[in-house]
Amino acid sequence: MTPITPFGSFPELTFAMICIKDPIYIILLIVCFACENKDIQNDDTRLGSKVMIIGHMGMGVYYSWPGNSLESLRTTLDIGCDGTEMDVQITADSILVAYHDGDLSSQTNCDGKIHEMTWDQISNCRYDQNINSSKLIRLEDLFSSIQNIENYYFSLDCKVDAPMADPVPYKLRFLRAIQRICIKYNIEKNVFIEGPKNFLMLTKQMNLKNPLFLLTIHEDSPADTALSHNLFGISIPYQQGVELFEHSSLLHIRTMVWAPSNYYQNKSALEKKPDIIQTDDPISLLKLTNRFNYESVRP
Amino acid sequence: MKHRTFILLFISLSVFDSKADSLQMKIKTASSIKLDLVSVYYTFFDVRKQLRFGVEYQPATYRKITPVYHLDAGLFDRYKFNKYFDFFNTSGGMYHIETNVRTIGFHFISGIKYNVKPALNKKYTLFLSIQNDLNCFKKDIQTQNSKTYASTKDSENQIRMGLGPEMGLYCHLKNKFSLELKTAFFLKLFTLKSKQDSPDIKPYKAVWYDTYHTFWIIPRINICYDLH
Repeated sequence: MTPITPFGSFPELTFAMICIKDPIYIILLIVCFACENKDIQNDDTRLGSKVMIIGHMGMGVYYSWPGNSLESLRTTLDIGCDGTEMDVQITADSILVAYHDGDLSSQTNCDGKIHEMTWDQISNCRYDQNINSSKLIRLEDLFSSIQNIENYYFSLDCKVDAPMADPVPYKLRFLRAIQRICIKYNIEKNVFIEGPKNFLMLTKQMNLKNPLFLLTIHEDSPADTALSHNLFGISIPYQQGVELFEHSSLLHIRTMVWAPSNYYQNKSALEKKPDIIQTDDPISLLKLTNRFNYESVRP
Repeated sequence: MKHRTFILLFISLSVFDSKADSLQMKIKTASSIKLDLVSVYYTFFDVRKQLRFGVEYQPATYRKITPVYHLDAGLFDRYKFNKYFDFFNTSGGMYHIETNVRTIGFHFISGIKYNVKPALNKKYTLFLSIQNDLNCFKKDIQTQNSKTYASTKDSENQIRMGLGPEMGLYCHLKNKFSLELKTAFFLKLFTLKSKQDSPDIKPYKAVWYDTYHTFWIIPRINICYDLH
């Protein structure tokens, strides 16, 4: 039954009139609807482990420092993440650089393509972020700054699609550079390589020991493809149906999901029980799973 | 949902009381006690556990200049931090280190409040004040390694004092009930630590603080009850 109010039988109108008459109630309403008690979520995976939480480009696209910068990548590890995803490109002199876009001009104060330039030519490039401008970094800069690096995981999104006449030697050079740095820091098992099928096949031919993840969006049965090529796992958007996760676990294929970027999307990703979550909002996901390091200091 | 129901019920009771404006009953020497709703901040916005109460006493509520005393004490923080290792069992099997952190303590905030044009028959009153925040915390940390079963215990105490201005709005709701919204800005005067090399414990009542805890902001939403 609709309650009788001073404004008749329209409680919504009544409340709206009250709010207009007295703004203090608007403040109370905002407080009221902002309140939400956040519970700890189950972080088990289907394969009997715990979900691995890694940041997307470090702290994600919404962080105050640019993605793939040293500040963003290091902070991800400091706050409790198990590792981080990063975009990797290779210079003409075979130095691996953390950068996302095809051209330097889109995010930095430099022009040109990384694979056409040497490290000396781009080492002074800075991100065009108004408040927090940081330098372009090499993978070497990141790895050398981390203590106990064997406790962390890194997922490399290899940008190997640069248009060139013969892409195979370029990709092989890319893979050799990854191999060198992984061997140097003894972290081959901790560095995942994400990529399309043909790139991962090259990786297998080179006998790299890194876990390989088939990066796919539209493939009908990525888990079967991964199994048939003896890959470690698949890298898919978190919105994929739960059946894919169930099927992958039956085949013992690991699932890495990406793209959740807020609390609710993180929660949704967790409910599907993937093996690895690559998130743009690592703080809320870590808090949801009792893994946030409240003692960390963020730049 | 329980929190929302409570607040909506409170709003409804306040609004539909036919005697809501009978402020004349108040006397000039009335003092008031207040309950701080922001003390339950973490309960609403985080997964950390806390059990604390913020209460405030203000003698001579309707005078131009009046002292204010606020105490927020109890369990300020309890959380668990799990760090997992060897996810794919490549070097001896997955294990984790569990860290349990518990912080108890208090914030004692006292100050002098200046009411801008106080009047019994006014719905809203603006005020300014100078506040002093003395906060004291005891932090206990326990860690347990699930692989080696090694455990550690540690404890430390810290005292910090800050000083700063505050401004806010006092709103009469119902006979003896009022709502007070205010925000204080504190600058650190000093910190005393039982362990000199340990990092600063943050001012827990603050909803914002800088990296080095030298500046912090404490908002309060007080439900006030006038004592005659």
